Amino acid sequence: MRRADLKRGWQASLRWLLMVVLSQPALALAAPAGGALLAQNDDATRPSRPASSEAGTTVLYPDIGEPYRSIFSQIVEGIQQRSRGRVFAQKLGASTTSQEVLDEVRRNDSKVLIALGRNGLRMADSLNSGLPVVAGAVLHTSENDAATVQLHSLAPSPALLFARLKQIAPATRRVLTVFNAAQNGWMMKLAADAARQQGLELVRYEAADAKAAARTFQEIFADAERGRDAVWLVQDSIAVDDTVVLPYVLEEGWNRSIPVFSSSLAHVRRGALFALYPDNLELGRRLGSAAQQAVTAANARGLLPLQDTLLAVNVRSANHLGLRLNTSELGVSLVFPTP
Amino acid sequence: MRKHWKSWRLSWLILIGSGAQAAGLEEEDLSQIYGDKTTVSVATGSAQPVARAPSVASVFTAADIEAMGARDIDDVLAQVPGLQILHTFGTIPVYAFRGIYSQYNQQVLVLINGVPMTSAVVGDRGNLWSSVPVDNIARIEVVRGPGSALYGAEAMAGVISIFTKDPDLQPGTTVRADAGSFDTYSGSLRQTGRIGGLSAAGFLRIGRSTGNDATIDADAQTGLDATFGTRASHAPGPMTNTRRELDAAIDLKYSQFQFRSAYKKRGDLGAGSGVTDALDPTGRNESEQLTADLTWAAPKLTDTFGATVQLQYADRHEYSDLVLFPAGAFGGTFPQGMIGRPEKWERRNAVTGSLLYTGLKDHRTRVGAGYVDQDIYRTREEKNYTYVFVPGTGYVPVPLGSIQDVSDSAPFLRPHARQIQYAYLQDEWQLIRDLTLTAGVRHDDYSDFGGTTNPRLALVWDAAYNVTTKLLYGRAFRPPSFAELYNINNPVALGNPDLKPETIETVEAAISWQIDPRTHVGFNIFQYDMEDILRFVPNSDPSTGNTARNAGRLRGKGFELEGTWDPAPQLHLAGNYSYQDAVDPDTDRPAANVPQHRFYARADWQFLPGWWLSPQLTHITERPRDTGDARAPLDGYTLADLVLRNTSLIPGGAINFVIRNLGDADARDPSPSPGRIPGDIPLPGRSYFVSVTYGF
Repeated sequence: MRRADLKRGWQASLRWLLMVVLSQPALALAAPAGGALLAQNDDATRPSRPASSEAGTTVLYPDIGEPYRSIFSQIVEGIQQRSRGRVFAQKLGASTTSQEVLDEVRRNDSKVLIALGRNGLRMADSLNSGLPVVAGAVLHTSENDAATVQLHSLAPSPALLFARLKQIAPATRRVLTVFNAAQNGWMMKLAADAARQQGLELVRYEAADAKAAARTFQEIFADAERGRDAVWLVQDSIAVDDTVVLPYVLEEGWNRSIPVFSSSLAHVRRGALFALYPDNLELGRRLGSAAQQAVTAANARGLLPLQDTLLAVNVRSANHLGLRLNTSELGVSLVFPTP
Repeated sequence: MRKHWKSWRLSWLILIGSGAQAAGLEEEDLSQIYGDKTTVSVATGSAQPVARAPSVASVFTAADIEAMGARDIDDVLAQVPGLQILHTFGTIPVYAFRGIYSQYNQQVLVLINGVPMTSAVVGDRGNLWSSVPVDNIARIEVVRGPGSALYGAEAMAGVISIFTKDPDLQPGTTVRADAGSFDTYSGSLRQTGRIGGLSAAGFLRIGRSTGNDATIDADAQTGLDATFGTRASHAPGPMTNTRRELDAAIDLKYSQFQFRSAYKKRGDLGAGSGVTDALDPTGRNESEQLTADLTWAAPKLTDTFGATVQLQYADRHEYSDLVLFPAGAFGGTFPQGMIGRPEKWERRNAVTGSLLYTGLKDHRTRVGAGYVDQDIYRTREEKNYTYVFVPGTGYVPVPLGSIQDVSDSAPFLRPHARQIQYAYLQDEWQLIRDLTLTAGVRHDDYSDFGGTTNPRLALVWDAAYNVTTKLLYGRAFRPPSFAELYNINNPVALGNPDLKPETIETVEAAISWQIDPRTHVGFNIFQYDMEDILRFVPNSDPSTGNTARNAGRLRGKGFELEGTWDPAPQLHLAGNYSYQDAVDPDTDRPAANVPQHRFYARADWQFLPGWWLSPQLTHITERPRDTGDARAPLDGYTLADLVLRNTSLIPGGAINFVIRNLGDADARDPSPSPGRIPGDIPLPGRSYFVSVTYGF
């Protein structure tokens, strides 16, 4: 009898589980917007033409493992939310060839391409499809790439960064930064205007290599004045070397109570006061809208800074600097140090 | 031939390398923005940190767990400094933190999504804890030291908090299949989807294993056979650690509400080396639990207030069908063997709430309160024996002739319930720049034994940009379990309603130093004082059996040193060394069953794009015996494991090949005192496992 009860328990549980599991794919497939990444992928390999008369969009994005995969999935979800026609998400694996992708783009009758990541950009370039290309989720790129497509960088807009700086450390009047011209020359042009708008003085130092950058940071901290100055770390593999420059800047910033803020989330975890990092869903929506515009109007080209950002702060550093952060008021998305 | 091999090797390298090359560049870009994989997980919403009191803690994310090739949480917990995992009682692990060991391990609190996994019967986690697969786990946080000021009961030696994967993850499907030694097979499926603002996730996992079947040379029946001149023992013979596993969960999230429900079943559970230390090849256990919780979380209710309310429900059923001593035991008195079939049903309902206030300058204040109802609402027992008191000899087992239902006449435990009300206050106060004091206190009022108040203090000093120091004090408790309060008809372990809680007071000092971006060192020292330890001790007339009493003390001190070092981008090294010196001040004997020294080291080497090789080494020193156990201390052991991992052969997936106990070392955990299994409990020899995960 008892055994029979247990067996019935198993059966009932399995029935419940089957209901749960069977209902889940239905949820994914029924999802009107984000959904479907699963649904999109199915569609991407299905040899049928889109039902919609609106312009279809093909998104080329790298096939990459978690947790990075979620970044692209969120961007794709955002793209789909803002695209009027159907969106075909095409993963780019190691064996994906240009011809396969081109066939797929034609089969889907796509009118515009969105390229994500280095691989997406490379593939879009190699297709020679003649379709307008909007690119995003790229860190660095060559001038050539930026000249031929509209490229939404992952480097946060300096206007947004400086506005946050004024909120978090309102006494700051001067921003000091070191950059490599090849990587961040374009960013510095924008930064100068952004600083002016916030009433900040931007002092830029160009560094050709890591050694020069380290020397410049030494000089910066020798002259830096507590309360007046802040140091901005840009996304720059030459000027902000992770192993030597970054620890030095963070240590000096701490010892001299100079706020160090950054364009990279990774730096906040190490001790920078705050950083802006990509709001992937919003970035996707922006790319989706841009792609729609590119179909109907001439495709604006060039490199654009990241406008869709979230805020991360390091409360340990803030406390040290004597800054009392109200994380709710600031709309902080991530707080470091994590437990 | 050599040329041929070279050309083959080159082709192989190109094949396995090219798949990952492109992905590697992409990861490089993203890691410049996000940092390591853990930060990516946090930033993309798959692992949310929680607020808590400062402590000495280890955190493992899903990315960490995947990287180490873990199948069960014990594979992960093996890396925690100061924690020794023992398998003295079959497949159910004992988590011994800092030398604190007990048969039922009631000094450790385990939470899943904030819901305690404690069974009220003996205060352990029951047979359900025979395996805990990691497939649906997003994060494991392990706090060493006391946590009762926040978590309440059982958070004495350590708190293990498990968080399952959130439905907010991107819609998609993840499947995983495992196979390996001991006929181990399992498969799991996780599906996440969205409808409008509703996120939903479903998880199902089914598994089975014959478990560790190492040989026990002699058992308790071997000793009885010598006395009675019989040959009833199954020893030498294998342990029985079979199991069948079913895990299912559903998780729904809408706006500020989250509903989670999980069903967990462990069936066909073998009796290990036997509950009476006599091998029992046919005995089996069944255990199942349904849990549900509904959480409302408004972290930004207003500019200065945040609030959380959680309703919790858990219903658990456990059944055993055991042969306590084999056929022919006690001189043939029990021709079918001495059979016992206890069964129990329990339920736990709780409502908890907390409010965070940040309106006071330099303060973050959290207040919380809760109500818990623990109810063992049904017990049942069948057996073919009873105990009869023989003056001068004590209780002796006497056959009943057949298996009889004694649920009404003489059960091991009758239904009981108790209610707990609690409230706590915790304030984080920034005293001066770089110096923060966190002070907390919690009062628990139990309807059966009364109240207990447990404070906590933590002083955190940010000494430099890369150095943090902590000074911690905490008091914690574990309440008497229902078995300790109300057990009847079992002279080996009789209940005693006149008990008070077991307590511990701990002082710790810790330092964390990020020497450079690639090197981190953590060090802590601790001292604790356990009082009123709950034990079943012999009555004044030992022949009348054992009764639960507050009858023990333990003084402990020690330190833990841990470090990580990344000497190259492709190489990550981690290791720790733990030392504990715990002594019973009444006997001056060292804490039994746990090693004084424990050393752990691991390397993760990415030898090709998409390929990792991770060897790990665990070394522990000898384990002292308990009072009344005349055996020599049990030797320590050294175990080596190897994990080969690939993430490029299956796009969006991973393959792990794992070898445990690579050197096939003869490692043993201590058998219970007084040593009726003289040769102790052998751990699994060299074993192989493979797992494949695929997400789409």
